[in-house]
Formats: sequence, structure tokens, C-alpha cells
Amino acid sequence: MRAGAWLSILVASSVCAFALDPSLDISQYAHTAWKIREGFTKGTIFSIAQTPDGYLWLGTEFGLVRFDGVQDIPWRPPDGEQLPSNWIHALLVAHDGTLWIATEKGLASWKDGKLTGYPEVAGSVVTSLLQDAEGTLWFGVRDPGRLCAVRVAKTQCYGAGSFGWSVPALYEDHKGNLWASAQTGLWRWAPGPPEHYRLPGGPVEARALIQGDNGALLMATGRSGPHAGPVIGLIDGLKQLVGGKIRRYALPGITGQFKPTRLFRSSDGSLWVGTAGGLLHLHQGTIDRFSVTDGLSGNFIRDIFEDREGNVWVSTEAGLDRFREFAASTVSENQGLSTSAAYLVEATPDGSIWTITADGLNRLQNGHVIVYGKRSVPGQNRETDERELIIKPRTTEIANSGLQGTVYALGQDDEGRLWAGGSEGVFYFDRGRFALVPGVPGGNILAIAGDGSGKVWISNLDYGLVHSTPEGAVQRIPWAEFGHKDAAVALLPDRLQGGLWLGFLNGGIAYLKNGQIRSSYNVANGLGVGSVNDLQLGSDGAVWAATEGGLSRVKDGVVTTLTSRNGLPCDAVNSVIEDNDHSFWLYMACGLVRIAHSELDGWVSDSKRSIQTTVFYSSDGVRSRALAGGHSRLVAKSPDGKIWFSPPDGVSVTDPRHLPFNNLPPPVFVRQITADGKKYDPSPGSRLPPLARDVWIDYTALSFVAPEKVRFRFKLEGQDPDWKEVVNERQAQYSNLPPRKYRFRVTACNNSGVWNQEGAFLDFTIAPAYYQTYGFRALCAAVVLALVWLLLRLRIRQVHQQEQGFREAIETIPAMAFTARPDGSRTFVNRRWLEYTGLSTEQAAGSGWGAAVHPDDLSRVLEKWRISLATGEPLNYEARFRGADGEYRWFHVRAVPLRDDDGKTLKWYGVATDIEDRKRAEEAARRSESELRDLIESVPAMVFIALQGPSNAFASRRWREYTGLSAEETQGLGWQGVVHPEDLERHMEKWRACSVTGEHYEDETRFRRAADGEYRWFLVRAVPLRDETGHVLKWYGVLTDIEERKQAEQALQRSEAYLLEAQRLSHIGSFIYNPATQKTPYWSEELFRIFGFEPQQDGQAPAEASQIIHPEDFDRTSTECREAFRDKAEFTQDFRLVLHDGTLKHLHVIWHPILDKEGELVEYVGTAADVTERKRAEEERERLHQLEADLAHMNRVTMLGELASSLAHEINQPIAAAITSANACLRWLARNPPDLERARAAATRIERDGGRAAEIIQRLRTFCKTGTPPQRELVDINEVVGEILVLLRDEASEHSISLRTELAPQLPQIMADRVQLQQVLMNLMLNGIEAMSDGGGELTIRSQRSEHGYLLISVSDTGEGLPGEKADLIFNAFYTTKPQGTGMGLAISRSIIEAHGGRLWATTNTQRGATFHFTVPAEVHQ
Amino acid sequence: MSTGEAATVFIIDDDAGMRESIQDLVESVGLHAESFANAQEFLSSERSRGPSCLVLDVRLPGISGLDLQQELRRAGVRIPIIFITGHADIPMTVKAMKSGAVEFLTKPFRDQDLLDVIQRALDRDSVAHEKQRQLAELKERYAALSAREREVMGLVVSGMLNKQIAAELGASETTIKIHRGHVMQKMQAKSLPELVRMADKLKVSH
Repeated sequence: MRAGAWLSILVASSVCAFALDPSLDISQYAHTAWKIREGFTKGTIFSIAQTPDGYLWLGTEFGLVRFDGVQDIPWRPPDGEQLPSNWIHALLVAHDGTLWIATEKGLASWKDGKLTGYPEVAGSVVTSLLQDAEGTLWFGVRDPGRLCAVRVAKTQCYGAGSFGWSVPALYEDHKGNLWASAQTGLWRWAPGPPEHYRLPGGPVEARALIQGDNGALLMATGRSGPHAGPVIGLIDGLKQLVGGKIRRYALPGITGQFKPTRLFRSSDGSLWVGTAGGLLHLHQGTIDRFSVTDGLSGNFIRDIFEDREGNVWVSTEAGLDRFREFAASTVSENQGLSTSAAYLVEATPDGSIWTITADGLNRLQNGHVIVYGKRSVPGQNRETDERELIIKPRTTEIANSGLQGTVYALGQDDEGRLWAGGSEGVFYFDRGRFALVPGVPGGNILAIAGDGSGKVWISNLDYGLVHSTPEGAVQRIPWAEFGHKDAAVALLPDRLQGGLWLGFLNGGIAYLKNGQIRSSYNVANGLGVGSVNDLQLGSDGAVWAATEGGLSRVKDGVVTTLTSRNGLPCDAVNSVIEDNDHSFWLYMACGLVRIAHSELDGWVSDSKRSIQTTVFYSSDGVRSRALAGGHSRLVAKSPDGKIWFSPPDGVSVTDPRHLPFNNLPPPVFVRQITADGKKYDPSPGSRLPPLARDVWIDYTALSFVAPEKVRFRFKLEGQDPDWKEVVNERQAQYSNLPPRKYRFRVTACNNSGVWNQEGAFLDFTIAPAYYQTYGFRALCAAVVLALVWLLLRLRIRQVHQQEQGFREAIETIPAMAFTARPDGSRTFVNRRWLEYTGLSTEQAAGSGWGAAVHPDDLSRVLEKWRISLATGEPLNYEARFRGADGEYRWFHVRAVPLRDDDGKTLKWYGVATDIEDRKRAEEAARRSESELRDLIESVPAMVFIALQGPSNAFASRRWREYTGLSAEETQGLGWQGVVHPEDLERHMEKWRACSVTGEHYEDETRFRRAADGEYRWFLVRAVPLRDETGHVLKWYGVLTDIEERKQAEQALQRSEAYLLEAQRLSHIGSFIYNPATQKTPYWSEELFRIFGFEPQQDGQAPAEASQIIHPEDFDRTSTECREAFRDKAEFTQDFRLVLHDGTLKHLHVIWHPILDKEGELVEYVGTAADVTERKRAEEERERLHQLEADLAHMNRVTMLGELASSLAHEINQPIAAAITSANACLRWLARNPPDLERARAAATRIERDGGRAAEIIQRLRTFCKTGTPPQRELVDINEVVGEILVLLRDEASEHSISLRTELAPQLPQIMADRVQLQQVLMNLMLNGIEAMSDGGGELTIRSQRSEHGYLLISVSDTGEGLPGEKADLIFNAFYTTKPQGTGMGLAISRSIIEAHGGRLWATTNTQRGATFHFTVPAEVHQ
Repeated sequence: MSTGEAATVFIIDDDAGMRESIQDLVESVGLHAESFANAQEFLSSERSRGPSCLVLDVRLPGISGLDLQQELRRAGVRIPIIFITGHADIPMTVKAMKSGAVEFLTKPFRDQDLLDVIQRALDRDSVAHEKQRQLAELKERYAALSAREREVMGLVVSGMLNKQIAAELGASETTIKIHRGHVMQKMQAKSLPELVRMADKLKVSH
């Protein structure tokens, strides 16, 4: 439990967003090795670090190396400076980004281009580095061993003399303790005074430290001293610090000695142990190994490191290794598959994955593999046949499971049972065995599929299509009937339409229903060419066919095919499946392909469209198959949504919802620039010589997951018109660049396509040659300018001509148009204007046009003009203009300004439109509305008129008086203020709805009365007024006060609800019955529920109510009713109901007669209570009583069984002693002279031992007594303790447990059942022994007087203790922590003690273990 | 029993009756016996240096019989052990025998069987004692050699001639001859092969 908490803290605290999947073995990760022998670096890599710029630094025996995932580049310090030594022992990147370098001859640090030395330790070997939580840098120094810290001013060293020769490892644990390992042992150095822990077992030192899963400090130990080589000796191994002592730390499943060198915890929580013989990987309770035989670069692990992207790096004596997660992981022989060569995959609903290998059917379940072998011969002894053989730690083989022959196809029936068909027939899997389906021929079975109607279809190459149930074949159709020579390799039952789709080996699909072929499609219809390998039903009902020539879709008789022309990476589709997010997964000859739901939808709507796909290749862990090979089940989806597929070398799985995604954009760097073979530093403003012919620019991006997938975009500004994109090419080349300044830009994306948005750039200049000067260019520019000026002149002339044309058009249009200056004075009026007003052009010019405006309107018009001229806003007004005939007509005038680029008005353009007719119509309408309003005002009702739904135009006086609102306040939405806040939203919503539909408005709403502030309910009704086109013009509405009605309604509703709730809570229904009419005018809702009927509106008893009375109770119930009705008596009855679903209910019914004044029966009022629960509880109590008694006896018998063998030993002991004594006695007598004294002593012992044996048997006999009723007698508790001790002594010594008693003398006797007390004591003592059975201990039995005349007996062990939060559970029946326990012992013990008037409880000891106590009342002495 | 020290039979059994009867049986054939109720008592007792053997019950409170056997092995105490037990299973027997137990007897056993095994164990222990004694004597002699003499002895037993030893150690051949004589004398070796055998026992090599 603690270990679990620890791990979760560790995992949660890791900030890295990437991590490996901890459930996988190392061999399931993607692995890449770089070997020194093949040219990678120069020597052994002792340490790995990553600086914030993203570079990986490798510390080797020949200096520092920087690595970008592709190239290893030796690092050189700045000119004139050097590292203390090129032999690097350790590297560390501090929180501030400083790289600390521990070397053979001192310490150095590197930050911001500056190398710093530490003269205090110059010349000494620095072996270890650590930065503590406070930021202090610590390091260990050798010969003599010292622990040093880098402080602000100077470097201080401690502990010379107490550390011996060296300090090889430093570690800070999660509590902030600083640990230093030294030749003299382990030191806890800070905080507080140093503490020393000795390492047992000779000259040993810890090479690496880490906190284990349980929080204890783990250490990798090896021989210490100056010449400690990689010798594997007894002193090597993992050790841990527990309780102040250092002990061996055993790894489960690892036997023998091994030499650990490094300890590392990756961010997924796994512990990696580097050893002299490869890697160990501890994850989720299991251990796996990885060494040179698995492809590791070397066996001696030097360092382990995890980078920012979650890659784990391991350096060995021979190279460097990288581990990362695949998008798809593969289960192979390493993980328990019987052989790695497997084909087909099927997922059953129980979560099992099935695949076929050469030696049988493999079933993967919870990380374990069960092999149903085929090697067995039928008819052998079943018992031995079925024996499970554990053949590998993760594999179990079932020798004879009933499966025979070679399996060729897998499928499932409707119940999710697996069917397997092959050479010897077709079998189905049921309860752990395979059963042969009779009458179904074996042979070359191609496909099996359940069709949803309980039957299964089987495709047999030679025999045809067979329709079968587990009981046998029901139908056979030869292939010839399909018009095919070949057979169907894919079967797809269409569960929507009830038919079966068949996909044929040589191409073509057919649809079979009711024994007839309804439709068939082939290449001519648009189907993909070649074999149809798989069929799937899409969620939209379309059928998808995986063919050699693409993915075909069949829907409503139309076939379309997706091929490489539409964006598939290739054409041959082996299998297709849809995942839980409706994306499609295609297992293809060129990889595993994912097509997103949206992409596929896009293609379905337009089959000419190209789609985007995601392809998983071998670098993602996917191995593909070139051909489906006549198998239709190469992919499957397990219930958890994972996609399984069957590559040639195992079974692979990918989780569509957890595809590894690298969202860390890679840092980009321009490394160097080379011109004509000479290298230049990429410093800003690099200057290259003139006439450089070839320029090479080296750049890189730091993403280590898959450097080969890193894509780059680069562009030389001024030279390249567009970005160029390359994959993993890290150099750009340019030839014959003209002299000038350049900027080279480059950016990159990682393996998941995440781009570095900023990228990197490099500015450089190529110097010009003498003839590449600016003079020449200036001359060219002058010529160009002259040409441009000429062109401009031509253009101006053209514009003038165009304006003339426009003016003519305006003059002739049939509207009054004008233009004005920015000050409003007219510059132009068109011909229409002049014709209407009868004015001349001169009269209208300037402000003369005002003469045509009606004198009443003139001032308003001029004001409008003034405002518009000032603000520049478009002008808009209506005014009367005088015509040439002297009549005024209404005109609508609009004018807009023309502005220049700065927003200054250049000119106004305007038009005047005749609106005289409209004006007249408006005037008429206004007059009639005014009359209507006067009428409404005088009506004594609340009336309103609304314009657009809720926007009010008018409210009558009565309404204004009620609300206290003024006429203005009721306008628009002003009335909302008097609506009850709870009603407002609904009220408005209804208005919105009615405004749209034009339906009559009706709503009940509360409005506030102004007089007293009270809200009253109103019924609001409104009807729309429409114009002839049906368009709503306005709404007329009336409000009616319905407050009184509302209140009455609510009161009734409440009381009904209370009654309903009360009936529901008490399971009591009520009814009224009229015997005269035999009608039930009332049946409560609860009564319907009790009878199991749907409540009905009319509240009358359902006709079939009496039919569900239990047949045995029916006659009695009827008779009771008849008699009572006759006597008009009150009565009750109990009977049972059998509901339609078979439920049995017990009812208790009370009938109460209602009589009128004359004493005549009117009707019966009754209640019916559902008493089923109560009845059941009574029965249950009875049953438990019996069970308890049975179990008490069973428990005693079980204990005896457990004791039998040790009792045999217990009796054997005195007998053996007696025999030995008898022999000794004989020897004493045979002496010459006989030693009679010794002989007599021996004889006395024989008698004593004989008596002992008899005593044990006597005790046992009393304990075994069964069936005797409890008998209370006066019992001495110490005596009972003694009896049980005799029985258990041997059991205790078998587990190395000593028994101790602390019995108070002269205790009063108790009145108890002796046998039951024995049982309790034996139970408690056996429990204690059980708790200590692993490591021995001491069991103490105490007896003493307690308060209030009780005796207290306690049994203490020094075992595991109580199970924490489960301490209360241990007394519950059937709770047990023992594998073989019945879980009854403590429950029975407690009930025995409580029957004796005492109490039984348990406590946890302060030191170790638990104590069980019980009290019993003491009998008062006479 | 060439050392003259009396042989002792140690008995550990938590059952008093069993313990007493075995002690009585052993004493009835004239052997000295000491008995203990548990392993701790035995470990904390003063034990004589003469040949001895241990009759050990497998089931004991505290440290079990098999644990005691391991404990003694770790501590380098090489006392022959005879296990007795009420009921033995095969793995237990195999474990005990693998760890060097002399015999595994099941209670009740024939008295003669136990006495025979005890005799065999004591014989074996006295031989071991003798070897131990001889080795101790050899070690005493070897301790008397000077550092230079030890060097010479190492080279002599590796088969080098005096001349070669002289070159190796940078001394004259005469000096080597004298050292060699002292070595033979102090080690009481009559011949070179005997010296080689001694070096072998002492694990001296070069």
C-alpha cells in the first residue's frame, strides 16, 4: 500500500509530458544502438546530459561530444582554454542550465560560452555530481575521498579522512536527505549532523543510490578500493537501508549474483538497473532483462538517462542505446506467445485476444498466454489431459482442450463464443473446452461468422457455404450456386437487413438473403480488383470491402472505390475495421493506415476527392503483410477499443486514443557555413569573400525520438522564392551567389509534425567584386523612372474622357439628382430636377434651390444640411418641393459625401424621390388608429397593442392604473418591470415563438399590482393582425385576472402530491370499491405500481387486476370479500400477487365500509400495503439462524482437519520419547552390573510420557464432541487455556513460534460452555500462529480480572498486525485474509462470546502484531 | 580421538521428555551428553573443543533446526548434525542433507540407529579436528617465517631455481640459499615435495 502511494507520487511529480508505457517490456520498445566499433564517438561514454538548448552531451574518455541524434560532433573549448582532463567521469546540467563536467583531473563548468575552472580541486579525480534542492552543487572527490560543495565565493570540501579512498555516489532523497556513499560506508550527510551506516560483507561501496518503490534507499554495491575491477563476487548486488540497517535487496525471479552499476527511475515510474551483464527493468511488479543478445550495444552499463522527449538513453562500454515507445507494440514469444509466427487475430467480449501459431491456438488474457495445443491425441485419460502445464512464466499450456487438427479460421457466434475451424472440423469454445460441432465438415475453412439470429455461417473451400448451430449443420450451399468457382474468404452478416455478404477469393461480392442471391458486384460495377480480403459494416449501414485494388464501399447499390489515386498510400488492403471514434483502420501491404472519420465522410460525399491518411510504418512498430493470404481476420477490436492486427511475427496492438504524440517543437540551429571549402562560424553578420562559388550551410534540429523523420524548411531570403522542404537533410548548398547581404532561415518539425514556429536564421554577406558596384544600378533606375513618368501622363488623359461619359448618363436618368460642394452649395442639378421645379440651372445653383422647398419645411431642411456638412454623415430627409405647376409634393432626399484618402469631403451626390402617394396613405391610417384607441381607452378591460411580439405600442387605461405605469413607460419593453421575475423568461420565450410562427399568444403570467406591490396571476391572450400577404402587422391582446383560480389549483395540486408521496414512501396504495356496481371509481397511482401496471389517467382499476392474485389465494380472497360485503363489515386480508414479470408480492389489505345515514352501504374505502419486504426479512432471519448453527459446527470440523497432521505429531512425540526411554532402560539393565537407579528413572519417564499421550487424546475427544447442546458449567478459564496449549504446541513449534502464558492465579470460575470456549481460544490462537507463520515470533496468552466482575483473556501475536482500514471487517462473516479460510472463525467466536455475555475485540500492538481480547462474566464466589 | 579431549553429544529438542530420554540413551553407552531446549541456549553455551556432534530437532521455537544449521555454517562452525523429526517431508530432508547433515531420523527411531549415526558423526568430527590441528600447527610454523623467507618460499614452491629467485628478488644466490635453508628448517620440511604439499595446504602461492 505504501509502495503504491510512493509510486503514484513519483509518477505525478514528473513534469515531463512524455513517458514510456510502463506495462511494456524493454524488448517491446523501439530500440536503436550506436556502436563505438562502427565509428560512433571515440571511446566509452561514461555520462549523458541534456542542456536547455536541446543538445545531448556525451562524456567520454576522450572528451566531450555533442549529439543531435544523427551526428556526434566533438566539442572544443574556446580558443586558449581547456578542460582539466579529457577523461569525463560525470556530467550534470544544473537548474540554471550550467553544464558541470567532472573529469579525471578536476571540475569545470560551462555556461553561456564561458568555461570556469575550480582550482581548489585541480588535479583530483571528481567522481560524482549532485545538485540539491536548494541549488547547491555537490561533488565527490577521490584519493582521499572528500565531499565538496560549490558556494558563491569558493569551493569547500569536507570529510577528508572519514570517507576513505573515494566518494563514488551522491543522492538526495525525496525528504531532502543528502546521501554520500564512501569507501567507509554510507553517510547521511545533511541535514543535521552526519550519520554513518556500515555496509556489511567486507570491502564494499555503493556505486549508485536511488529511492526504491517503498521509499527505502536502494544501493548498487560492488567491491571497493583502487583496483576494483568488474569482478563478480559475493559482495555485489542490490542492498537497501531499512530501519537503520543495510540489508540485501532481493529481486523476484533473479537468482545468483549480479553486479549492479547504475540505478535510474524513468518518468513512467519504472526502475532501471544497469549491471555488468545488461539492463534489468522493474515495472508494475515484473522484471525483464535486455542484454547484448537482445541487441544492446554492450553489456556493461555505464549510464542511463531520460531526455525531454521521454527517450531513455543507455550508454555501455561499447556504445549508446536509445529506447522509445512505438505507436504499436507487439506481443511475441518474449511475452509468452508459444511461437512468434502467428496469423489471424480475434477479440472476444471477455477481453481475450486469440491467434493461431504452429503449435496451437493462443489466447492472450491479462498479460498471460494460454495455449490450446493440438498435439494431443483424443481418448487419453482426461484427468491428465486437462492438466495445465506452466511452460514459461507467462504461458500456460492446456494439453487436451478438445481442439483437434490445424486451425485455419476463427470467428464468433452471437454469444461471443469463439469458433475455430480447421482440418478436423469446426469447434466452439465453451467453459474452457472446445466442443466439436457435429455434421460440419472440416477441411480448408476460410471464414466463420455469427449472423445475429443464433446461427453461424462457415465458408469451406471445398464444400461450400454451411449454415450451422452448435448442434450441427442446418444448410449447405455449394459454391457453384453462386456462379463462382472460388470460395468466399470474407463473410459479413448484415444484421440490419438479415442477409449475408460474401467476399470471394478471386474477386467480387454477393448478397445472400433467404437462400437467394439478391445482388452481386464485381470490378465492372466499380469494385476494387483482385481478392476480397475482408468485409465490414460501417456505422452508416454501408458495406466496406477490403480488396487487393483498394477499399470499396457499397451503399444502396452504388459501388465506389478508394485507391492510391485518392490518397491511399498503396492499393492492397488486407483488412479494415472501424474504431470507437469512427475512424477507419486499414491493414495494408504498405503499413497500418488510419483514415479519420471526417476525411472518409468527405470522400463519401465526393468520390473524386483526395483524402489525408496517417500511415504507420515499420519505424512505428508496424510490420505489414504483402498478401492477406486468404485470411479474413487480420485485424480485430478488443472491448477496450484497441486495434489488434496480425503481422507475421506476433500480435500487434495500437490504442487509437493513446497514439504517442511528440508535442515538443525541436530547437533549430545553424551549425556552420562553408564557402569554397573554408569553414566560417555562424556568428551574426558573417562576411564571406567575393565571388564565393559554392556555399554550404549546415543546420540541425534537436528531436531525438526519430531524427530520421525530422523535416526541415529553409529559404535563403533574396535568393529562394519559396521555402524548400527536406526530410532529415541537414545541409543546404548554393552556387554563384551574387554579392550582397543574405538571411538564411531554417525551421524544423519533429516526428509528429510539430513545427518550431520561430526557427533559426543566419545573416551573412558576400562581398562584391569591383564591377558589382552601385553606380551601374543607379543608372538603370533613372531610365526606369523616366518610362514610368510617360505612362502616367497617358493615364490622366484617359480619366478625363471617362468623366464626360458619366455626366451624360446622369443627365438622362429619370430621377432628380444633384451634386454639391463640401459647403452644401449646388454645383449641378440634372435635367429632371429642372423640369419638375421649373427653375433654370442658374437659379438652382449655389443656395438658390431653397426656393423650391415648402416654406414650412425649409428651416428643418437647412438644419439637416448643416448637421451633415459638419459631421460628414450621409443626408436623409423628407420635404415638400414645389412643382412647376405650383403644387407641393413630398420628396425623400438622400445625399452621400465623396471623400479623398484622408477622409476629407470632396463632393456631395444626392437624389430626390417622389413619395407623395405614400405620405397620403400614412395620414389616413393614423387617423383611423386614433379613433380605435379612444374606443379602447374607454373599455373597462386591460387591453394592449404590440408591434413585433413583445414590443408594446399601447396599453389601455385600466392596465396603466393596475401597474402604475405611465403611457410612455408601457411603450416598447417597459412593461417587463412589472412581470414576476420567475415568469419573465418564459413569457418572453413564448413571445419569440409566436412572433416566428404567428400563432395566437396565450400565457399565464404574474404582474405586480401598483396599489399594494402584490403579484397576481393573469391570463394573457393576443391575436395577430395581418396584412393581405399574411404578414403580421401588430398584435391585439387582453389580460384577464385569474389569481383566484390559480390559488385554488395550486392548493389541490399540493395536497395530491403529498398523498402520492406518502403512498409511494410507505408502499401503500388506496382505492374505492362499490360492491353494488362492482366498479372501482378510484385506484391510486401507488396501487398501480404495486400491481405492476402502468398508472392510468382515469384512475380505474385495470381489468386484469384480479387475475394476478396468486391462484392458491384467489378463492379464499373472493370468499372473504363476498361475506364481508354482505355483512357491510370492516375487514382485512392477506394474499399474494404474481406479477406479469414473475415477481411475487405479499399484500395486506384493509377494507373500510362507508355507510349512509340509513346504514346502507355506499362503497368501500380501502388501503393495500406491499408487505413483501417484511415477509422476506422474516424468512431471511429464520434461514440465517439455521446457517449460523450449521457454520459453527463446520468451522470446528474444519479446524480439526487443519490440526490433524500436527496432532499426529503431538501424540507421536511422547510415544517416541517413551520408546527411547524404554531402550535406554533396557541398556541400563543389560549393564554389568545393571544400573538399577538409571533404569528406574527411565521407567518413570516411560510412564509419564504414556500419560501425556493419553491426556492429548482425552483433550481431543472433548473438543471433537459434536451435536451436544450447549451446556453451561463452572469452568476454570486457565484450565481451558492449558488444554488448548497442549493441542497447539506442536503447530506453534513447526512455525518457530514460542508460546508464552501470563495467567493470573486463583481466578474465579465462570459459567460457560467448555467446548465453545475451547473453540474460541483455538480460533484466536490459530489466527495468531497463522499471522506469524512466515517469520516466527511469540504468542502470548494472558488471563486477568477485569472491572465489574469480568475476566479478561487476551491472545497477542507479533505478526503482520491488523489489515489497517479493514480492521472492522475481520469480524464479519465470510471475511478472510487467508487463502483457505472460511471467513467464519472470528464471526462465530464473537457470537459465542456475546452469547456468554462478554465482548470480543481486537487491537493493534504498539510494537508489532495484534491482540485479540475477550471478556466473560465471572461467577461470583459463594 | 587422538587429541584426548572427551567427545560430547549435544541434544536440542524442545520436548523435555524426548530430550531427557535421548540424553539417557546416549549416556547408557558411556558417551558424554549435554541437552538444550532451544537453539539460543545452545549458541550461548560454553562448548568444549573436543570432537562433538549435534542431535537436532527440526521444529524448534525461535530459531528452527534448519536455520540453526545455516547459522552455524555461516559462522564457520563445522559440527556434524543429526536431524530428528516427528514427520519429515522430502524437501526438508534434501535441504538438510545438502547442507551437510549426517543423517535424518524420523521419530520414533530405533535406538541402535541413533547410536550408530552418533558414532559415525563423532568419528568424522575427530578426523576433521585432527586436520584442523595439523593445519593450525603448519600456520604456526609459517608465521615464524620472516617476510623475505615467505617470499623465497613462494618462489621455491613455484618451481624456480635459486639463480632465478636471486634475479627476481635482486639478491645474491648465496643469500637465497641461506633463506631457503631456513625455510626448510622452520617449516620442518624434509624435502621439496613436502614443502610444496605444505604450501598447498596453507594456500601459499606466487
